[in-house]
Amino acid sequence: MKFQKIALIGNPNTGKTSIFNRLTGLNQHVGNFPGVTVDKKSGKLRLSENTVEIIDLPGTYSIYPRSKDEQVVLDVLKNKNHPDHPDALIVVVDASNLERNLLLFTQVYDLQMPVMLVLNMSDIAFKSGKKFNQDAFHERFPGVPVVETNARIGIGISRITENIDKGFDSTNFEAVIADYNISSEQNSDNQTDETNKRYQFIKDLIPKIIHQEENKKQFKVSKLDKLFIHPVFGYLIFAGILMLLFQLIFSLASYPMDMIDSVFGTLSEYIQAKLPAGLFTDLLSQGIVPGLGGVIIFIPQIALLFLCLGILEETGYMSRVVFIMDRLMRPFGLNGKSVVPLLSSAACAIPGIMATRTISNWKERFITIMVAPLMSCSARIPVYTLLIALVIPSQKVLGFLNLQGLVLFSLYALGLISALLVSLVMKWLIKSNETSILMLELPEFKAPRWGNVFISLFEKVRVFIFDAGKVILAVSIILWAMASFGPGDRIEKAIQKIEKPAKGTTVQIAQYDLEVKNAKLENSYMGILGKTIEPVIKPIGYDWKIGISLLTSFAAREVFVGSMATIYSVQDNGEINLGLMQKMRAEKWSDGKPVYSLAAGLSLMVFYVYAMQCMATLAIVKRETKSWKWPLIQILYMGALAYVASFIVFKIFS
Amino acid sequence: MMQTILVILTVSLASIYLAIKGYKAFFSKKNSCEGCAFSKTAESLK
Repeated sequence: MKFQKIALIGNPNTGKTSIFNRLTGLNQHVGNFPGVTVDKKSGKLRLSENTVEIIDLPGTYSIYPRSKDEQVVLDVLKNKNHPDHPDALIVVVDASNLERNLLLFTQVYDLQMPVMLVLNMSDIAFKSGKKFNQDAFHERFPGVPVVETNARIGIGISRITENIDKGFDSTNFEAVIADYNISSEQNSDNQTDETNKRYQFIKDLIPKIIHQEENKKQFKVSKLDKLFIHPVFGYLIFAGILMLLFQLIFSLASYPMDMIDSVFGTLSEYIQAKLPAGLFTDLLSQGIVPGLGGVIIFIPQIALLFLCLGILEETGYMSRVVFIMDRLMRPFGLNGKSVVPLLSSAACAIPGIMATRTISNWKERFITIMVAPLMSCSARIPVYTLLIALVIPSQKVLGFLNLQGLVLFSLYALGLISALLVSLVMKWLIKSNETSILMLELPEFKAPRWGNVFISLFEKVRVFIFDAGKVILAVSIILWAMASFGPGDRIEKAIQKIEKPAKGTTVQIAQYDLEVKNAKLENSYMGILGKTIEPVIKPIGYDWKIGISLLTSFAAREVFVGSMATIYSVQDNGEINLGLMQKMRAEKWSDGKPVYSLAAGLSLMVFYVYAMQCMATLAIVKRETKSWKWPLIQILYMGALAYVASFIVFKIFS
Repeated sequence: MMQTILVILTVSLASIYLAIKGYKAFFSKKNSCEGCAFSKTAESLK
């Protein structure tokens, strides 16, 4: 039997995508399944005589859908007219956890489609003393080819290809449940009965097909988990890991950051000196170069952060974090299924909000959506680190902790605590008694694959530079234009009012130049806009330049840094090669007090913890709630929280 | 003169880019994390 289209199906975390990558190599295409926004990965596998299309179906625990992704699997399998309906299926299972993985296999087997079973992670199963008996398996499932693989290093992949090339047929044998028809099994009682029957079947089958030896490794893993998911030590270890992460960000990243800051300052000066004087030279030296610098300066921090997160993810520790956070969040009215969206939001609120689709109770889903943006996302990191470096001294606390890292940790903690408290209030207001549970598989601990860690690190840095970077650069260019031009002859009139020293000292001439630049800036479109909003933001400690950056960073939080770089570059007081931080440190109010005092800096950090400064998140909330009302309420409640909290912080520290 | 033309072109391009980006955020059918470097880590937690 020759196949044209084969689908890979399996539980999440079974290495299905690694098998897909091994089979298809670079011949891959990413698109959407028809009619839905679920990613579809497909690729070509060249055989001896023909080429077959391989489709990577979304990971699912059962054929019955609990989410939009899983619905796709059901649609593709049950509808023979579906454009992605396959001729055959490859079920990828975790060989070290067959008890759970075989449920999906038995469902797929009963569909009477040609099926191949791939026992992935067979190395882990072997190390934990599990040996698979192929003969016993074939007695019950004749016609199903079984391939043991280790997709991490490519073992067994050629045997999958050989089996596809040869063809296989498992359609004329005894079903696990006779006359099984998925389309008639949508009733939940039927599903429960069917699932129980299947688990009973698997329970009886496992002793026949698996020989389990006594093993020390399993004991070691369970001992590790006792520590990582312990009700007290679990949280302490997680807090310790986060602390270490933030300490590393400040202690290691500061050197390359200072260097990048200085290089871009020098580059601006060089462009100004070497290119012919004119508007475009000004745009390059005061808009584009500082804007680019505002992106590139954060690469060391972003790279360090992703390196550490990649290692935590690769080892399987992140699943333990989800588990312990579930326990923490329940008393605050958030159910188990809210944990994953909220933790995802600590990276980025958009996939976090999309992940709420798995929450069936709309009230719980709605609360999760409303509080998700309070979790500190990656876009806040550039803002936090700039402000921390500006107002928090780099000194040791308790002899070994860096104060700057401690403040960064506190900002993340503040976001989490606020999300919990707001959900508690919302739960009380909305009153929902239904609760859902979180089902989670704790994968085996594994040594990180450094290749994967570095590929993923490279990809994330690339996305930061080319996606966030383009927005920051575009905003910087527009800001430069707004700061360089004003209505009518307003700028010229303001300059004429300044008295020019006829034959002054160097200091007097420098003072005159500074006054001219300030007059230009204050009478530009940007200055007028900034001065208009200054009365609103002055009570929380900000001047009009910060106000402008607050407005522009509504597009995305990280735009704040690029905006500050452009504003201070346009206003430059003659020492163009000073880095952004030095320029901000030198900024003074008219009474000589520093603009970036401890109180103003902390107030601004707290503002960014709470404020809904992300257009893309608002767009996704609108899409997910199918209403403008909820994003509007979200922006208002988060804005009010931001203003009040910043005001309190500013008053306390002033 | 040339410098002025270049500035007009650059500022126009930047404005058009931001307008398209904003429009796509609200009206595109494809869900994606706009410029967020963490999206893949977050996706992997789903």
